[in-house]
Amino acid sequence: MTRMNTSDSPLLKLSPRDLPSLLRPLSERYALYVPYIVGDGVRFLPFQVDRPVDLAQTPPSHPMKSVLFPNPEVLFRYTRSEAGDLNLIPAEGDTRELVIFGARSCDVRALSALDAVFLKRSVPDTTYRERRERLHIIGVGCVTPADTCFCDRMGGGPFDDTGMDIMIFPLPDAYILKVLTQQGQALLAPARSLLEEVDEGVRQQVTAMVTRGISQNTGTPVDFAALKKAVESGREDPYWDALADVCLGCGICTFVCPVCSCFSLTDSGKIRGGQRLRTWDACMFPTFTKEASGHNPRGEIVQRVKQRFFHKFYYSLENGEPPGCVGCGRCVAQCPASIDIREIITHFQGEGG
Amino acid sequence: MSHSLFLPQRMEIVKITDEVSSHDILSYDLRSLDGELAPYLPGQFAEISVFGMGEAPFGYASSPHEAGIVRFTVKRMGALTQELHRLGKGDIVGLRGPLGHPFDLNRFKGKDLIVVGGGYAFTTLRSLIAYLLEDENRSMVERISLFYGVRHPGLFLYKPELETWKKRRDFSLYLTVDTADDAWSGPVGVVPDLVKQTAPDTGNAVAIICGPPPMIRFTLPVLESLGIKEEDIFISMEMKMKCGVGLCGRCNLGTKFVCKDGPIFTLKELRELTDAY
Repeated sequence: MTRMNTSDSPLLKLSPRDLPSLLRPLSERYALYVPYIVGDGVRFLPFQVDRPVDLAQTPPSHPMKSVLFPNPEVLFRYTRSEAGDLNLIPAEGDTRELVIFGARSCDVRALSALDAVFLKRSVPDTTYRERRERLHIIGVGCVTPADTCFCDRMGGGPFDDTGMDIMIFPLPDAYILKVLTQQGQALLAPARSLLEEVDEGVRQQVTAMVTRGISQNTGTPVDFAALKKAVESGREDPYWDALADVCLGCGICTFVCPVCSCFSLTDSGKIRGGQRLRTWDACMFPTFTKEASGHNPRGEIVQRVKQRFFHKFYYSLENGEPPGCVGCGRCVAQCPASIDIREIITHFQGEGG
Repeated sequence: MSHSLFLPQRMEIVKITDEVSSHDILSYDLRSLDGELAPYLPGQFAEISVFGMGEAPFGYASSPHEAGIVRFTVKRMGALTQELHRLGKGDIVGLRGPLGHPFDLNRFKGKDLIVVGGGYAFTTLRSLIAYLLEDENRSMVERISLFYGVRHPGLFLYKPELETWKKRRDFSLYLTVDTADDAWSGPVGVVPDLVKQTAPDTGNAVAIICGPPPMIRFTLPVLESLGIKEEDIFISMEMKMKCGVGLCGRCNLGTKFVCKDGPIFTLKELRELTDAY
């Protein structure tokens, strides 16, 4: 992706009522994913004409990792004839270029952690790579972060545009688009007539919004090297037992985490035919490591709680992968037992960061 | 769209061997229906698909020189192995492999080998021994001593082969059972004791060990008392491995993944990763 020198690239104004006119042509050329309200939450789903996009929920309850790492993902189908002949049919994927509209900085930054696993850790994951190489991102800045947000402590920020092709600044009465890459320019080409260059007044409004957003810091930035060291030497800290006492082992933290990428491979079907699926799995489940013999190397919940945080803040860093948390706060917001990853960080590192 | 990393190769079952008196361990000789088999070495494993049930990891029991087929020995344990045991000659399973690293044979060169196996986990060691006993490989290492124990004599795997090995002069085979039967004339007792009583103190040995965790735990001090250094003790690890390539996360052991970084680790590495040994 060619990143342009954007310091003086024009800001383009889109009226919110013209958003469908921007998205519809995109959906004809690209596999377009947008944030939609589903129940109480917001998920990234394929674009549908006349269904309103939600840019309000911050961050969306469900991370956008589902676009690159779908749950479930059909890997192949198998059929078995009466005579016993078995055929394997690889899944036909969508080969169109992908666009995610409305992505948040935290989720985009999480891609570097997913890339570290699926592209760099060992052999590249073929289907992830194909989606990743075809991905274009129209992000949106976070004007009103949630109480549980702490991306600024984790190396990001509400208007961090790293990895995006276009960043949207949502002003009260207009979307202001900043084109960051040539690909971003191409995405806007069909909708050029809807966009107008903004004047100096709007430019200042945007600057003020970003300055305000950045100044609302949620704490001291985390020193990952120090945190890693503290977690590493805190393996026997009774604090883990206290966490394990309240943890329900439900795994919601891993499902809503934009970084967590553990999975299972299972068959769904019968002897005559079916499919092999990749589904999200979680280190918080006892079955994750339970062997057919009944032996379970992580049979105790405290072992699983440790595994989750050791992976995020120690093993990943030791292996040269990014930290396992971008500060989206979804696990904090959605944990039924009120386990707060920020408190865990503070416990090991102290308030001083 | 290129094929998924997870698409297996179709394999036909060409032979099934009922290995033990309890009839719950079967060996499968498999032939590829989808082109050549990828080359493998002793110590590696593969994910075997039983379509409709999923996949499970098994170490290669065959040696790479056994041309045309690969062999896996499978104990009936859970749903997948139960279903596999229902299959017959001519049925088709899937294979993804080889996965993981083989035994680092360079580290064995010019050394005496003390090979210790217990129970069903012996399958991987069978691949190693068969490989090293082949004419072109035998000179790679010095003395080979194999210690192999099972609960009772009916549970030895690969019995005809053990008989052949017994007759070889360039190979010492020590078998033991927890409980003897009338036909058994060999030693009775656990593997660590057998190693303690009979292992040669050569001063030039490496050890390879594969078996149930208690056997490993009690054998390690014996090996160390023979002066074998922790970096010269090789342990084949097992964990529930689904993807086999370090991505799915379940065989994560500290900073390592048993599938992609192992499954063979030195005792030194394991002590740095876990407090299990």
